[in-house]
Amino acid sequence: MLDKDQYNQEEYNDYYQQEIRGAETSGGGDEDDSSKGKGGILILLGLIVLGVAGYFGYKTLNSADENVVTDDTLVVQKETTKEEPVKPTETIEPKKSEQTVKEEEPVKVVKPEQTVQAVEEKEDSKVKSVTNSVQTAIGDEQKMSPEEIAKVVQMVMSQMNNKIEKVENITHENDKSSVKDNSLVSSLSGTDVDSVKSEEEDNKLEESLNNIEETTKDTNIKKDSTDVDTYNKVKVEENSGDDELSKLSSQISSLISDKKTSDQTNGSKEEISYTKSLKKEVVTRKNEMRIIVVRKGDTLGRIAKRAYGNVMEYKKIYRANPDILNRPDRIYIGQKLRIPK
Amino acid sequence: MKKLLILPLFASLIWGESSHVTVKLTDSLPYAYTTDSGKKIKIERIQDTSNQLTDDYVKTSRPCPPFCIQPTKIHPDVKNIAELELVQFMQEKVAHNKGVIIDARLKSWFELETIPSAINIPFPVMQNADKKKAELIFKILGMKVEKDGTWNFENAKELAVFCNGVWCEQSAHFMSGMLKYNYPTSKLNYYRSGFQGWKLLGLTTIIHKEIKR
Repeated sequence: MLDKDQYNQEEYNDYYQQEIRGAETSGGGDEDDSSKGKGGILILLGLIVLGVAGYFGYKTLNSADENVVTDDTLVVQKETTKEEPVKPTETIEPKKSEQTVKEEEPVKVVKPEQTVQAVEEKEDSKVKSVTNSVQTAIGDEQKMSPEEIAKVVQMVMSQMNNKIEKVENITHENDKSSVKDNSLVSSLSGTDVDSVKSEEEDNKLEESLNNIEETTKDTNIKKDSTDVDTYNKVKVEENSGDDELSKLSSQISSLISDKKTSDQTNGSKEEISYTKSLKKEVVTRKNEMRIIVVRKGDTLGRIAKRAYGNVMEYKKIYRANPDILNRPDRIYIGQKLRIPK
Repeated sequence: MKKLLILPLFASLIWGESSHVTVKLTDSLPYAYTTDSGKKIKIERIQDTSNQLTDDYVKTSRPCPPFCIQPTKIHPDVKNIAELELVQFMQEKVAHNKGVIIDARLKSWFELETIPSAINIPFPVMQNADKKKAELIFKILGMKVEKDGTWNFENAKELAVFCNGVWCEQSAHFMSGMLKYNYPTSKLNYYRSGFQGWKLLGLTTIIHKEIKR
């Protein structure tokens, strides 16, 4: 005789086995794994191809910009040869370049490379307008031979290069003057082994970037010994080093601990009450809310378990973050949650 | 094979991230280095521009007394310094064993979180020190006792003293002890903004004792 529950159980088992079989046929097997692997590789290759394509696209865009510059030079050359139509453009151009230099001065102090790019871009747009006007002027009478045009192009190219150099020089001067103004900053830069030491401001950024690369290597290596979190807190065992500072620190702390006076006061009543209130502040601070960043696999319950040792305390965290959490079962990686006492 | 493909991509991502310091110490100084407990510590600022201080050190109101606003100067001859001078002090004095950064707060504060390369001399130790104890401390700090018994501070270390900030008088108490036994004022610096000022700029901090969660 089949009991009702037994029958249900059997039916469930059959169904479950069917499900498993179905899953095996649809998704299992070594071949499928390998196909998954291949798929992954294909995706990665696709990403690489996209990256390369992007790089070349960027390059072609840059080259297009260069072409524009050459067009400008052509135009300006024609201005010099053909005095009548070019005169107004000639007068406009130097003024504009001066203006751009003036406008960029404060920015250049911060990022000289970017400002030079900005100046170049502005000059490009300016030259475009000039080319249009000159092309219309030239359209009527084409008297220049190709050789003449080539010469003109060379001349104007050299002029443009000179202009860019001038702009760069101005940025360097600005940088230098700003650094001179602040002796402390310059001395800091001078004394730091990893800071920028060179006199040429152009090299500053490159050097600092190189240094950063080195330092990331350093921190990666040192992660075993020092634990750096995202909020620049480094966990270090006190007086664990052999250097002079560590020795000095351990001498001081041994002197203090011998006498057992580190947090004690045997002074006046006021002093004692001050020390007491300080200790209270420490306790308060220990109990103040902390911020944790939600990691993969976190739930409010798991965070509560970590924070309080009790999953059910998730409500506390939920209540402490009304601006972030709408539902207790919806948290996302990277969210910063306040963890109350 | 997969790993071979993934690793370069991952490495390039890491490089791309590291080559961009958004929040520098100064225009020309992205970060600096010092040592703490024998470890090389990178002093940098938190790069997350959306980051804000939360409960720690954003408290506006504590009972005064005792947590009252401190005067700018502790002593007319004691120099006041700020964050950049402190970084400079680390590089020029601490790195060459000519100076020491003193965290004058109680040990429990120091252990919670402090400034890199700082050592702890709780203010009550100095404030209530008798001559013998002061001598011991000063000796550790480089003072020499001459044959005639006079104290020679020529090679004594320069000190940069801080506590919790503008609402904290622990530095003042510490300094009073130092000045009582004539530690040269030329070798004393007061970082008035203190640990709160340091935290406010998102600068690297040291935890000697982790808070148990």
